Amino acid sequence: MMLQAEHVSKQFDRRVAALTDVSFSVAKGEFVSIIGPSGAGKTTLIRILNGSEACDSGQVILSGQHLEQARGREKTRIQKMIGTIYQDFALVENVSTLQNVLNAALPDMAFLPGILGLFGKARREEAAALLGRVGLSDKLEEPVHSLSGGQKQRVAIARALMRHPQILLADEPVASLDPVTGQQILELLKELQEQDGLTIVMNSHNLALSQAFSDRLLGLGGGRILYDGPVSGATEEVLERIYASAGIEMAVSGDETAASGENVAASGKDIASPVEERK
Amino acid sequence: MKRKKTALLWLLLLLLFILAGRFTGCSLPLFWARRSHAADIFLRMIPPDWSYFPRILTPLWATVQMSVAGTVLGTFLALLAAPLCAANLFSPRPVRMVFRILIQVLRSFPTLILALAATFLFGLGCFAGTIAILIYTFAIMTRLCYEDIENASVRPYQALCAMGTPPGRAYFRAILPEIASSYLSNALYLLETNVRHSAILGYVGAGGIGLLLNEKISWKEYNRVGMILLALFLAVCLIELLSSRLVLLVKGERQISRTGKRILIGAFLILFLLSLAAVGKPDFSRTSFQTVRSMFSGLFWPDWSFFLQGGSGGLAWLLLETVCIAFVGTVLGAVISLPLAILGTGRLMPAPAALFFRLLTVAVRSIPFLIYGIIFIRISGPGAFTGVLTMAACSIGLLTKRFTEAIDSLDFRPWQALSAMGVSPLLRIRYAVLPQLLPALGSALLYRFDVNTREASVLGIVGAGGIGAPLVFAMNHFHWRQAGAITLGLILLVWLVDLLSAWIRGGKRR
Ligand SMILES: Nc1ncnc2c1ncn2[C@@H]1O[C@H](COP(=O)(O)OP(=O)(O)OP(=O)(O)O)[C@@H](O)[C@H]1O
Ligand SMILES: [Mg+2]
Repeated sequence: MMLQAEHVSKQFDRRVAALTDVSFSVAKGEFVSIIGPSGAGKTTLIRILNGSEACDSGQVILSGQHLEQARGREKTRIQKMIGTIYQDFALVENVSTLQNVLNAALPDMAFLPGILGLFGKARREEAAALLGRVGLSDKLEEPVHSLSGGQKQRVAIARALMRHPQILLADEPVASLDPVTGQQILELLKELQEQDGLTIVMNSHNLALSQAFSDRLLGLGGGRILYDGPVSGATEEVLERIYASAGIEMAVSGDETAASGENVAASGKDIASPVEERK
Repeated sequence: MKRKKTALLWLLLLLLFILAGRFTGCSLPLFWARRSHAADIFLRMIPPDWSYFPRILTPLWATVQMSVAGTVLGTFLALLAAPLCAANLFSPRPVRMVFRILIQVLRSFPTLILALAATFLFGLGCFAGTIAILIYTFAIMTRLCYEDIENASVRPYQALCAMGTPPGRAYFRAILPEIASSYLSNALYLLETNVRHSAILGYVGAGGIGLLLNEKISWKEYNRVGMILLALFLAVCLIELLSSRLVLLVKGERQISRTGKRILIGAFLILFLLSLAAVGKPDFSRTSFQTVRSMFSGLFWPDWSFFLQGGSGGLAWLLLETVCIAFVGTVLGAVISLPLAILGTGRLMPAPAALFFRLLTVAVRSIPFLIYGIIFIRISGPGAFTGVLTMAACSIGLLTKRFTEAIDSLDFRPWQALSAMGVSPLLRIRYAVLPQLLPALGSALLYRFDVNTREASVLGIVGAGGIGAPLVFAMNHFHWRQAGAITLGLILLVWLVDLLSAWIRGGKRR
């Protein structure tokens, strides 16, 4: 098993239960999509899987190593095999796209060349090539803040790939892209999965794309796993349950995003994350 | 290619810093050996003489009045002059040029020098001080204001003009609303600066609490000096608190009701009127037509032989020393400010610690430069090194403030992303924090360097090197032609620094 989550729970502020008893596992080389309404806890799950956030209880096991217990060097060693694409990109805005991608090489570099910025020719060329693959070869020296949302997203993708990850955690990797580019990016990820045996866990609001590209669907609603099975098993009825259940639960807790739950199910469209809005 | 250039630039800056440090006679060992003298005077100020407090109130109030009156009038006049300087409105080129040169000339002088000049025209007292603050505020505000206008969108203005609205009215209707918030927050910041500056105007006889301060220092009544400083600190705290609240309002980050707004405006009006009342009348009894005439003729027909005099002690040499003092002082100030700013941010520090360091910064800022000069002169003697130390101390306030703002607006998401990849903390600082901070730090430094070149001329009053001492000496001894030459040099210097910083800023944008 590449990745196992066992009984993972997470609460914010002792009130909001973002995740409750989430268990699933992902085999090596698998492409899994997590679907679910806004506020379901998808981003929180990704952040726990890559060690940015600690879970309150439960276990996260990557290639047999416990991430949730690891500290310091040990943790860093596990984190080095993960590549993450963030929903809000998390790029350094006033630095060039190339430098942002190069930053992903830092964990493998010694301190001195790292601090002096001596990345070497090979790494530079690789970063440039990756940016070329996501269609940004003419923006290498451009500062990130001058890019469009979709272009930023592609920089974030290139940065994650620069890690040569064994597992790629992608939080809405194509949400800001036009349909054609989105399709192309997913084809790129699929290619990496098939050729290099990359394991991919992707959050997505785009049902059609998730169904077309992934091997398995994971339905998350109100912080619980509501569906875990093949793409074909996600019938109309199952989808309705995933998107509606969280809506109801949220309505009870008086969350404003509740109403949009069903809209998402109906249109399969992307809506802004409450986390992003708050920032 | 580009990286080599940046590396070269840093090296060049370092080299310049070392050269300027040597030129101004900076010596860390000397400072370290005599460090005890720094605390010396401060210790003697404790405990402050509490019984003296009531006697301070009147001059302190006069100081505040002077600065309020001067600031309000100056900012208001700036509002009228700014459109004449702006290139994108109705002002024809010759008018624009004349006004810009005038502003640039006025901008070259610190309040203290303006106040000294004003005492020759309007006699001793608050009137001269108010005029000095007015002119200082006017010059700076006009400059800031017309830069804002030139960055504002002129489309609504053009639309109004096309409808046949007179340009002046179109300016008030279409441009003003756009620059209003930046204008008001600049004005509030200047008000606070002016309160601190006007605290020393008494030194040249221009009224306010500076008279007392000067007197107590020369009589070595340090307990009373301590009391004055404490009162000043409280006043500055109060104004800072008030203006930070107002800035929030002005920037629209907080809302108040209509009546609330009216009450606020009313209160401000009353304060302004009260301030005007205290300014008093100019005292022309000792102003002779002769003085005024020779003063202006000195300005227009400067002493060219002095102007061109080379060698050490010559004008060029003094100006160079002034720039070096400003430069080294700014850098040293930044070195102290950065840790202060980090310690003072609520995002990184526990709240009580952050509050303590913020208060410390306000305290450092509220002490007039004169006090620093007097303290440092005991460490390093008269000369440029004292000037450097004083400049550094005076830069801390503004730099810390700007740095804190930069840290407050940091985006921590890339930091977390790098951390999740397993990048070590030092490398995270290098790649996720510094790139975000550097532009803000750079522009703060540049701005402060510009301010410091102008302010450096007041150092002459405490004998701390640079162009100030000869200027003050020449003015006090009615050597107007010499004063004219120095003035001209100063104007050119400030202009050069201005061009330099515009060039650097332009280069950074490219
Ligand atoms: N740092 C935080 N502090 C407090 N609450 C949080 C925090 N992060 C997330 N939450 C809450 O946890 C819940 C799950 O949020 P999460 O971001 O994981 O949702 P999501 O499924 O990614 O939504 P979207 O599809 O809109 O991105 C939400 O109710 C959110 O308000
Ligand atoms: Mg999310």
